[in-house]
Amino acid sequence: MIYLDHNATAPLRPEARRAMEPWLGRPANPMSPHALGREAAMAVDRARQSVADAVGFPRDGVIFTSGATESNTTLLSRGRWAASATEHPSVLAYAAAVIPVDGEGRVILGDLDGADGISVQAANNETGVVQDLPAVAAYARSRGLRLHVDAAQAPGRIALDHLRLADFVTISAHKIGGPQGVGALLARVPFEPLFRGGGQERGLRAGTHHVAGIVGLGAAIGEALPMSPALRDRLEAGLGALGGRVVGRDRLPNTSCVLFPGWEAADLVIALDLRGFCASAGAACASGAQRRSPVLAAMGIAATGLRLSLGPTTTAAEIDAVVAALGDILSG
Amino acid sequence: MRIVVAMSGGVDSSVAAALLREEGHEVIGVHMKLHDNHGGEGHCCGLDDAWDARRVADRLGIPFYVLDLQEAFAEAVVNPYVDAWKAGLTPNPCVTCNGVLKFRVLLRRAALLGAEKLATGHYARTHDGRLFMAADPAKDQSYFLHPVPSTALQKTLFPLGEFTKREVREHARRLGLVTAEKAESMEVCFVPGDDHAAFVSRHAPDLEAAGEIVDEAGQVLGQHEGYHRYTLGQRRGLGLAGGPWFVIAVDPGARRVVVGPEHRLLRHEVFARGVNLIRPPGTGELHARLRHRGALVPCEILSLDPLQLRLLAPARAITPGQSVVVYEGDELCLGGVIARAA
Repeated sequence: MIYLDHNATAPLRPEARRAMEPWLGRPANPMSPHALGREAAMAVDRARQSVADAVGFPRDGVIFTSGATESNTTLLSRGRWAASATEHPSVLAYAAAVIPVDGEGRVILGDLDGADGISVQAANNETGVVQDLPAVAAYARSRGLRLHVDAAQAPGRIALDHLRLADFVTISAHKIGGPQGVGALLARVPFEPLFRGGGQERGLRAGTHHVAGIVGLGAAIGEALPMSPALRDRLEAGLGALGGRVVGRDRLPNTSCVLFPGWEAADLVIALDLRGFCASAGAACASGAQRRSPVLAAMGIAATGLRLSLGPTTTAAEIDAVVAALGDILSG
Repeated sequence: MRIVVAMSGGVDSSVAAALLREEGHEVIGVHMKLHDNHGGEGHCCGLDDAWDARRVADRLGIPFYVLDLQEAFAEAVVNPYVDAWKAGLTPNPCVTCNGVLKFRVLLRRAALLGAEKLATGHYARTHDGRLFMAADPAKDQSYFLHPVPSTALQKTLFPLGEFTKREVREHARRLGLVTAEKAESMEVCFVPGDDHAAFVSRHAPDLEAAGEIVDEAGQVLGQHEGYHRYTLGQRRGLGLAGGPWFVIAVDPGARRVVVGPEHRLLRHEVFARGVNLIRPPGTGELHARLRHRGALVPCEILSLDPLQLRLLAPARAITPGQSVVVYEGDELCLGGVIARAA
């Protein structure tokens, strides 16, 4: 099995697994006053520091959540937000206005009436298109708008230097080799909590901490260094030779969204699956159904692309194998 | 042999997949997501039927894929269904789906996946591109399959063709399939609560307009609230004095429903369009079927294209929009959509 779907979810990094193991099965509630509780509290604190350091936010601005969707919902379900047309559905679900993108997937920043803030992703999950965050941040600052950046796909792929320009950042653990079911919302300014109750996370996110998961996120983000685009470029050279057209220009070094004229991406995903390759057509959907991509539609492309997303353990031999398999499928 | 099986999530297609697997074939399950009649926007996936099919596929240890065909289905089946009611017809969307969508899409996938055959859970039999009734006459579904071209039938298997429903359920139980006891649906799959009038009204609100119920002489006997609520031969719900009255025609142009005594529903000649000829009839006795589960009526073919049939015994309420198929023995030779009867 060759796994080329890291933007859907990535394998657990060994460092994250090792960090999590002591916390699986240990009765560790960071809110407890006893020794085990204190130990857990310190483990969560170290993870908080690790996330803060990676993203360039103050440690106390890191709030752990159940994942990127919860982080996005917490922030965007309050107030009036304008969001780019290619945002994740958990952002678009609450957007009061949509910021269009151009044919390359970059936001077109024009007049916005009545929004308190804008939400622009660091990089798109389907196409890998990277937004020009310094320009977006300058735009937000000049108009007095809050800036939220969904950075679920950024760590482990690109440098995170520009995230510090945002007021809020969303982080996901499982896209970067941490465990599923944990993420963070980073905030420089106050926000309304979504979950109220036991006072965890300074009252900003009630609910007992997922200690093992949080520790895993802390370990994974510390290891999540930018990737080289070399293998992606090798892949795209192969896809191009097969007649594929890659969508978007400035992209993550691990993501290729490719169109083959006359082919449905869903068909290619199935054919690859039967040959032992994991890829996707657009984003993953709950029942595995495939439909037209709203992300590509926003870019003026009426199709769904085949998405191949690489990880830190992907090899050149795997790239050559998937290109060969696609060549076989397309010629059959 | 590599075979793609269309898995609806019902017991029939579950067992079809299981039987092929037991025969040692390499089976790939495919579920077509056609619509979302559970309502609610953005309710993108995870419907019960797809999950039942997925559970069965997992149990059988076969790969399984969901194909989202909602847009194509709306265009090819749902919209024509609404248009047919507007035109005063009583459409059969399952026939449309088999004819223009299901087999075409599935055969394309099958070819792409390198599969030699496509299989479905229909109760019918096929070999050499020909189509036959199922061994169990109570379950026979060949009527619905009449628009499938012979070239498609050549690549199709109906593993349940020799089975009774009871045997199919027993087999599902023996294998512990979650779909073994699932209730059978006789409804149009995309029409909630089997209420076609409410569904059509929602999609074509202008049909709600009132009109006249008249007798054959044009005398007004009453009013109706949309002619799409009426189908040929209908007796109930007319609310007229005297009678008994039966719907004998629907005139969409005048928005009129025409009623008359029952004997006016009897006809001897059928005209059909969109005829699919699977095998030219031979010299044997021919029988027509004019609705699903309808009686077999002895007939002669007066013309093949356009199709014109003479019935050797009169038939009641031959309904435009439904299909007529012609059997020679147990073989379905041809079928089309009824345009009118005389």
